[in-house]
Amino acid sequence: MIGVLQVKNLCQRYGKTTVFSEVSFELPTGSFLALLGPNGTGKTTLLKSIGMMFFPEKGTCVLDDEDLFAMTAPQRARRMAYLPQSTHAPFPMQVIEAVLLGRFPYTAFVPKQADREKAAQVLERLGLSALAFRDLSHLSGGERQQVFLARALVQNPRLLLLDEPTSNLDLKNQLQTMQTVRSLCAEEGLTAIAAIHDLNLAAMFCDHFLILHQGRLSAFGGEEVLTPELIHEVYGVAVEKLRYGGRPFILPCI
Amino acid sequence: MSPKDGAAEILREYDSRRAKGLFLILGGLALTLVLAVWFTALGAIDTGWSDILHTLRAAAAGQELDTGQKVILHLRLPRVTMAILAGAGLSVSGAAMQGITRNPLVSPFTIGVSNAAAFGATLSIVFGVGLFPGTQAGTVLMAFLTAFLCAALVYLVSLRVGLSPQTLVLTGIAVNYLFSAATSLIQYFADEHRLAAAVAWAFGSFNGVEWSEVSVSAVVVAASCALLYRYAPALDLLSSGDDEVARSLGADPNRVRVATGALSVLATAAIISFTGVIGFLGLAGPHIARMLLGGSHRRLLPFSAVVGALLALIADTIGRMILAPVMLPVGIVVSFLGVPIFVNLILSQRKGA
Repeated sequence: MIGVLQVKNLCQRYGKTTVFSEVSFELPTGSFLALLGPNGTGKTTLLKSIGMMFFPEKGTCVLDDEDLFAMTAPQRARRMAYLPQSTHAPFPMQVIEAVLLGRFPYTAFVPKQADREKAAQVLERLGLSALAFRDLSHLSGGERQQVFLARALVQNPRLLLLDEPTSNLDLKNQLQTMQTVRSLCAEEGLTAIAAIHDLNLAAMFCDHFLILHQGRLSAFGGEEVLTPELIHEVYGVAVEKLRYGGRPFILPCI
Repeated sequence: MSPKDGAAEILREYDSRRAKGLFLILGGLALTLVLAVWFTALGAIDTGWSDILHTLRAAAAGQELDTGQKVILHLRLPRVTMAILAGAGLSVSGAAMQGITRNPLVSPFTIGVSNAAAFGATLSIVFGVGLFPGTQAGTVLMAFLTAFLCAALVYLVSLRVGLSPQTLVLTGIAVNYLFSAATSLIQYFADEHRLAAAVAWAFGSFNGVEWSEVSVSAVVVAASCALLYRYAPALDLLSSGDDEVARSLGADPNRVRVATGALSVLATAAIISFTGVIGFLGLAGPHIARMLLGGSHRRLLPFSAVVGALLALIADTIGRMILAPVMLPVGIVVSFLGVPIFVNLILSQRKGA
């Protein structure tokens, strides 16, 4: 089906432990999906399985009728990009070099003029031009996150996978990152999946929600699936769901 | 500044920095060649630059050489060539090993390859174990084989837990101790004469290298470094982030790790089997290059080669001249020479940050 990301029967295990099984969902392209669930529930693993960074035990993942799991790794890397949680870099690397790595699945040995132009444009677009020749290790966490987002965008992906994109960021950077991703989805039809902890941030920016609980998909859908009952069951926390200015807020009852 | 200008500005700056990098590499290469000629002319028998040309012309024409010309052709030129080769090869191997393990402390020495070669050489020198026992060729062959045995051991153990960088480094360090202990054990029981020979081998020097050795080493080092260079973009990926990021960008981290690891070990073994252990070059060469030119392996690998060659060449010449006629092994001098440079660079980096 065109315009849909179809994940079917995705199963993953570590050794003999099943992390999750039978995860299936259909997501319209251009959506921003939040993967929710408590720590250790396998959100990140699910994200990485969809990205084939961990080879899933079984299951399929089809985007616009293209079987992502049947492709070669470079083919796949031209369709989906991954934004890591935090990357510790032991060696110096300039921002522009890091962003150019996003052209790895496309380029021959040396980045071509078109690759460099693409990198420069994306840096410009994310407002990072001034950082282009700074060393990654001299940047703040928020700036680094933006640089990795730039690298992912330089890949020209149609599917963007984000692993806890807002952890380690201050409020402004959290909002900015989520806002950028949402506008990419809305304006360019990019589909984004983010493993995320903050229910309110997710509710504010995402349009689809997948709750993973005890190795199963326990809910999938729009914002209406985030019921206080479900959140209590999954996170073990009693909450109230309020509305303010038309937006939902999840408020813990302590 | 309009958005277009910003992107154009980045591209201009990128090109200018690339040109500067290229200039630094070519400049270093030219300096290496000039020093090589100058150092060839230096020594107990006084010769000038023109004598080198005359010697080469005479040798090419098959004429009878006088003593000075023989010294140039059979002692100094192979020595200088080996210094360049060893410096370049060890430094490139170090850069690649640091990249694939994502660890700035790694070098052919720290992950056991050098000590394994020393173990093989000691076995051959002390016990006459292996092919052609008691000969130079036998020692070289044993050193080469044990270096590879060590690398295979490290990779096989690490493979059982998925070949992660940490496991590679830890296993390498453990194996390093193993071979070091085994070498000490043999030396403990060796007679004085052979002990001296084994210890002298381990110092690492270019004393008495011959053209036959230089050419074998040159072929292997050149081939493995050329093949390594093709992995430069993959090394950028592996050195800058987690394996998952590399995988998400379409690379196969483990394949890169096996291929580049094997090539680095090949280059290292082809050098230290002939020269003995030279530890510092493989660690410091890449770091100095990185501090001067950044971490992109397309430039880092060639520039590491240049920096390593310069270090080895200068260190060997100082060692040859400073207490002449006594020749200090390059393995010793290079640390005395390189450590101050290295520490100085580290200090200036921290200030700049």
